[in-house]
Amino acid sequence: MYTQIIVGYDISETKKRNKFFDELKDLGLVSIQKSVFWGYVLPSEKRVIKELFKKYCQIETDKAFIVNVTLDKDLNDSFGYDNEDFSHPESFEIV
Amino acid sequence: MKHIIVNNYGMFLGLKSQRLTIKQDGSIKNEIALNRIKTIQVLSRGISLSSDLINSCSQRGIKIFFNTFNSFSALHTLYEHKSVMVRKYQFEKCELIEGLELARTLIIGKLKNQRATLLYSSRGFENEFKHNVIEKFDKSISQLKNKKDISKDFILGIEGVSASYYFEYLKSMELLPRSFKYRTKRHSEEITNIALNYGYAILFNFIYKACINAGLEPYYGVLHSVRSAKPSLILDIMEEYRSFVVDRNVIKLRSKLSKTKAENFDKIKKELATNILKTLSKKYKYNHRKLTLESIIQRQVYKVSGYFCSQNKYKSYIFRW
Repeated sequence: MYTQIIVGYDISETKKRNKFFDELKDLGLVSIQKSVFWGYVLPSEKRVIKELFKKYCQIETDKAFIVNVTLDKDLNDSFGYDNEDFSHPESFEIV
Repeated sequence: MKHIIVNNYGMFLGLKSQRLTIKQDGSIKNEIALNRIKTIQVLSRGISLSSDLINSCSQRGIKIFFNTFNSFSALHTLYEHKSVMVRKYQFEKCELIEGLELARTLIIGKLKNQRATLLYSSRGFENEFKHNVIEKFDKSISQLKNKKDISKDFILGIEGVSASYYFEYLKSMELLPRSFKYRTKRHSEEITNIALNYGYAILFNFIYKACINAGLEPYYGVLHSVRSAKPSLILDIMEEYRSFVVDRNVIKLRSKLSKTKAENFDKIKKELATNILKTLSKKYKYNHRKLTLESIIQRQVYKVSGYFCSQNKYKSYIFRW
């Protein structure tokens, strides 16, 4: 059910960019670079992200995309990341 | 979806946007999106929660549990009361012979699972004592199965005798640390009993959650006495899973437990909780499908609910190894 995705965006207006950042975090995505998020989402959550694009991006100035990935398996093609950065979601967390 | 267990004294659970933030000494230790959380279990004293977090959790149906060694409490909404008919049938059936039949099935399940745990933990050795104990278990199971005029005392009697064989066997075969003499429930100062009580508290929360989801009244059971503030239905349903989910993990940790003093239990608390939660998230065969144990428990509890509404028969979940 859950699929791995990457969300990349370029939003010029700071206020909207910050709100968009917060909303992606609220969906359980992890910020892996300044304007790049990664995480596991349900199909419905993917649709929510597309709605967020419409809400926070302006067609003339901004750009954003979602792409399906398998980053946890393609670590060899990356730089500066390790296994823990792309860990599969556990069913529990002990703190 | 995650179960969050908070163990450390002095933590602060707050809300930032739609995320749970866990702070210690003023700095954020962890941030988890609320839409990824199923339950929050607070298993230590001295942990503070913000009212905003409690409000958001109640809106999202996230249950918050507070367990210490002596007390239990839970926060959840009354949204589940849409299932008022289930409760009505439960109150009716618990008083009738169907209630006793359910108690009989639950205890048969418990004995079978205890038997499986004994066989699993002592699979490496063969001796007469083992055969005797297994024979006694078989006898108790067949007595329970074949008894016609069943009573609560009869079921409790067989359960009690089997429990004493069970712990006696674990003690004699050194499957539990040497400090273990007998089973004590509350205010224990012996590390194995502390570990067992801690594990049962985690399991308790899972069963409680499953019962609330199934619309059952957790305080009205079929075997344990009905008393104010005693969640007897949870204790009844828990019997089936105690040995497999908790006892087995305590047995696995016996060497670490024997090296640790009771006052230093906090050091292995996390490992025990991790093992128990891993067991609950592991997949087992259920009706020709593979499901996590947590989902199996939920389905079994739905079956209890169905049983009260006279829709189906209840059959215990027996673990195989």
